[in-house]
Amino acid sequence: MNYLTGHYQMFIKALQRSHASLLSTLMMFLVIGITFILPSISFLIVQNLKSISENIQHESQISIFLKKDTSADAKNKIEKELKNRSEINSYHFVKKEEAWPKLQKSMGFNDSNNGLSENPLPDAFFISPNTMNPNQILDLKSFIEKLDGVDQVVVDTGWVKKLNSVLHLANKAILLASVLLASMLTVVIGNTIRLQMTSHHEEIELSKLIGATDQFIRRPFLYSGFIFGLGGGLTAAIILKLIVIFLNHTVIEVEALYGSQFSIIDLNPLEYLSIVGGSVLIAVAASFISINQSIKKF
Amino acid sequence: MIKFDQVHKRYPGNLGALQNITFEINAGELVFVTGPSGAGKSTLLKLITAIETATHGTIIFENQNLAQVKSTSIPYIRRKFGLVFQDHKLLYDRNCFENIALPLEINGVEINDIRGRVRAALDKVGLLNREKSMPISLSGGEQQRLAIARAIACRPSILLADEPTGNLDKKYADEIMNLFYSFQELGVTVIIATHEMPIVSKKHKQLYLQDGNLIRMTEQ
Repeated sequence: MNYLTGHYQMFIKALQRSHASLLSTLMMFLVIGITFILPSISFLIVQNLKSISENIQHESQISIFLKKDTSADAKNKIEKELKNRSEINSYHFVKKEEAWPKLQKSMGFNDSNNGLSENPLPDAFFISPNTMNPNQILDLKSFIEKLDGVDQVVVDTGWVKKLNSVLHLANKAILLASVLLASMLTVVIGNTIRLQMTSHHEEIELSKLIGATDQFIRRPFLYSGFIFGLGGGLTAAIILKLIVIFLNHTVIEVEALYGSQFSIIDLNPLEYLSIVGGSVLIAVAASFISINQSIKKF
Repeated sequence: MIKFDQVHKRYPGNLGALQNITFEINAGELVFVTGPSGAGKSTLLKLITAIETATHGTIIFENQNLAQVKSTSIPYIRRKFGLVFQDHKLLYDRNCFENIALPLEINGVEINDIRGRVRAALDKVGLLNREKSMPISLSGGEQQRLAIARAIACRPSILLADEPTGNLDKKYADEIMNLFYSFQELGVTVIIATHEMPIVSKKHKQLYLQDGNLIRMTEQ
């Protein structure tokens, strides 16, 4: 009980100190908050791009163009092989005689002005795979390429793959930037706490002389660090939420104009909580390190 | 209660501040540590309160050898002393009440008891009506009394005062000395370091230091 009231007294003391220097406390909240927003927003963007690319992946397909002189026999053989592959969800065959008028129609050609004397298109299979694993897709591609009568295999997920690897890289960059920003925060918070201790050096010196333990001296400064972390984390979470609301508002306007179906994915509550938790953790750890270094000097 | 046995104290790069000091102080005594400035009086008080450690010799306080006390236990030893510092060490950013509450907070006194004990200490030194004043608004004598109130707030069994009447005229000095005598009557051990011979009462034990040596010890 005594221990708890001691902590309570110290917390009140730290609150009073923060209140006495309200402006600098608020500025500290903003510094921590903005530092946390930078990687959080990047994370948000990557999450959103990821979900877009996932949607696109489901529509991706593999096109197999056959050689012009491929016999119906060879074509049937290919079809049989395709049937046996487990990675293939569905496929359909398009004869060149069917494809040519379609293309002409869609491009606005007619027989007299296209300048081509014969149908340039080959027979083709179009496959929807049921996997998005790049290795499996590559395996499938090389398997089909070896089949008799196949001229060319085109996987149109190439750019999705590139986007994915870019996003993967972006995730790593965010992680790295977060580590750098966290160490920057550690230094900033540590310095602020050190300054606080310097401005209270008379009290600390006297307290030590009349029998204060290191824990007693550490406590109010540790609580200051906690308040910085909590305030900064909440600032980050609130600003981030406002940004998402603002962007979604803009998206709705665009939606109304173009009829698109897209809204920004917000962070989930757990992710918001981890921003606040991470902020508190970094601030308390930074204060602890800084206090322990300074306390030896008194 | 306090026993010095052939204690030496040497600061780095300096001549010894104290040499071969041996004496004993019993519980309930009032002892003057006298001698000219620079004789080592303050160093002696710092050795007793474990603010400094002896270079040689042993210091026994309440049957504990101070040289063997763990650093984590030192705060608990210091809490047994009431200290009046040469330079007051009052905190000028808070009022009289808060200055006196600090040692009580350090000692873990319940928040509900702090109020009464601060007022009791202020009453003892006659500053009860200045509870809310800032120390800077007090006169020199009042500041000294405030420092004494802070030293006695935790009801220590030993009171140590370093030059408690320095810079005070005779009237204030007598007031302060009467305070110390009244504490001794209550059973508190009192140790006063001073270079001002007029305030030293002949009725009490006296340790006379000169150039770090204990020249003379007069019993009461």
